Amino acid sequence: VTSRTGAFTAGEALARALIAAAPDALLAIGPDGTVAEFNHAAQRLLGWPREVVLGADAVDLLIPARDRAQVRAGLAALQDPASDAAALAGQRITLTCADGTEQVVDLTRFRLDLGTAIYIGVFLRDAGNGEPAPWQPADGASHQRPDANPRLHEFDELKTRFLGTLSHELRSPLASIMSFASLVLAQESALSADSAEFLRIIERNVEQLLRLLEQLLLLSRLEAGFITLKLADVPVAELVRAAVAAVSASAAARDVTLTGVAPAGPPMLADRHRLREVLDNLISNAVKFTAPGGKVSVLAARDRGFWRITVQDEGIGIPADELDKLFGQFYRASNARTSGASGAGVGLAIVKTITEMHGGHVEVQSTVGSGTAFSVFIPESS
Amino acid sequence: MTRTVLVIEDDPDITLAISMILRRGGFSVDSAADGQEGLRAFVARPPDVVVLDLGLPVLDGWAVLERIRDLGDRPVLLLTAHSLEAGQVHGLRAAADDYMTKPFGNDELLRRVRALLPEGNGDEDGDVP
Repeated sequence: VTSRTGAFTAGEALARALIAAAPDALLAIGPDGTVAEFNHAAQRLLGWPREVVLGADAVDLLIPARDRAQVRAGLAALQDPASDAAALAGQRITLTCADGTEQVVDLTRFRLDLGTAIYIGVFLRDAGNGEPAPWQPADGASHQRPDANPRLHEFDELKTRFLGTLSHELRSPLASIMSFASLVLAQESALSADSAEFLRIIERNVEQLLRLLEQLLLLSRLEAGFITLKLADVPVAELVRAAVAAVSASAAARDVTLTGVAPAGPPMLADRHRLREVLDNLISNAVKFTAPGGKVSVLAARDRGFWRITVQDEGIGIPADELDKLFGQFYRASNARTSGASGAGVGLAIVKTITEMHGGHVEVQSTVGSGTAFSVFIPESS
Repeated sequence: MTRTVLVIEDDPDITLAISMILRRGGFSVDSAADGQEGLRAFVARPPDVVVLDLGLPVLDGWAVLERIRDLGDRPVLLLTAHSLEAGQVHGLRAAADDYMTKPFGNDELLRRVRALLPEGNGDEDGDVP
């Protein structure tokens, strides 16, 4: 509860700092059912700005309509001084985010008896995707979904947190390198031609490092089940056009002709942002492995309740006995390793994971020396 | 009149880079290395724009942002080290006036800071020399 005037006692200041800085999402609900506290972690988790939430009816704002009656009853029992309703830990519940999407969280709620009034304290923790994603290890070995095994889940969380920290710690020095390189380059007239060229090489390589960092972080979050799809109707022609446009500059720079074709039809049910990551990966790969003067085409077609988007290149092809290993993490085809094209073998693992989270799948056909076609299948919207 | 930017950022190299970019763009720059020092500087010499890093020691960027909001309506450009998920971006947009993810382009930073100036001017000194 905010007080904007007057001095705080040390205890109040500590309590306030504790709530604000707590890494777990925390909210408090007042006797009248309105939100009385909503900390930074809660804002980050649900996207609601504090000033919108404070004073609003907690159930109306945060609970999807279908669950409201049940949640209200639970809160009323907890607020009744006569009831012996105990604190409830680990309940899984769906909340409404600021952008209209839903977020599944694990919730702990408890009674805060202030003498004159009873508040309810609530801790929230992201429960990942509510529906178990079709998670499968790349090597095809038998395996459990990460949260089926608490220790494995813990390990995955640790790995994700580690990559998150690593990404953070790498970003600051990379930001310095980039900023100072371009500060020097901004005074290019004072530089020798060699110096300017070398600085541009530094810039280009920093950008490449950043892209790799983003992809590693994304892959780790996907595998840990921390990424929830935000499904909506996505017009296919528009998606294909945008994906082709995003890679057209680098295709032109390599003298590769890039075309996209999508017929009219129903939208697909997809997370547009994530699906763009799939297509960007496939199209950039296709361009990278196609020799100058060659063609890359992106073709959408309807196929028994699915949209099939095929990215066809005229590249070096993939040996038949390596096709099934291709989607594993950090795997690179033998002829890709020797082709001189850079890559870490992360992109296709991302493509496969995201596509399967949509309830779709990926197919690949390839002929060494003449080209490769990757097809992703994504359900049509019904 | 020269416009002032307060840069609250704990990495001294980034602080220097941002200060150089903004000074070349014609701004006067104050800086602070943690949240508390940042708030003190904010009160002592209210800037036209605040550039605020989220991951600060002592008092984190969110807490600093909240105090700055309590103190008035100075525009704030948030700097984040993470690429954010959609929900967080939404929260940021609502809470701050703009945000950028590290690393940022020098020209882009200057453009965004200028766009936050109350009357949308202050670029009489032209582009980065």
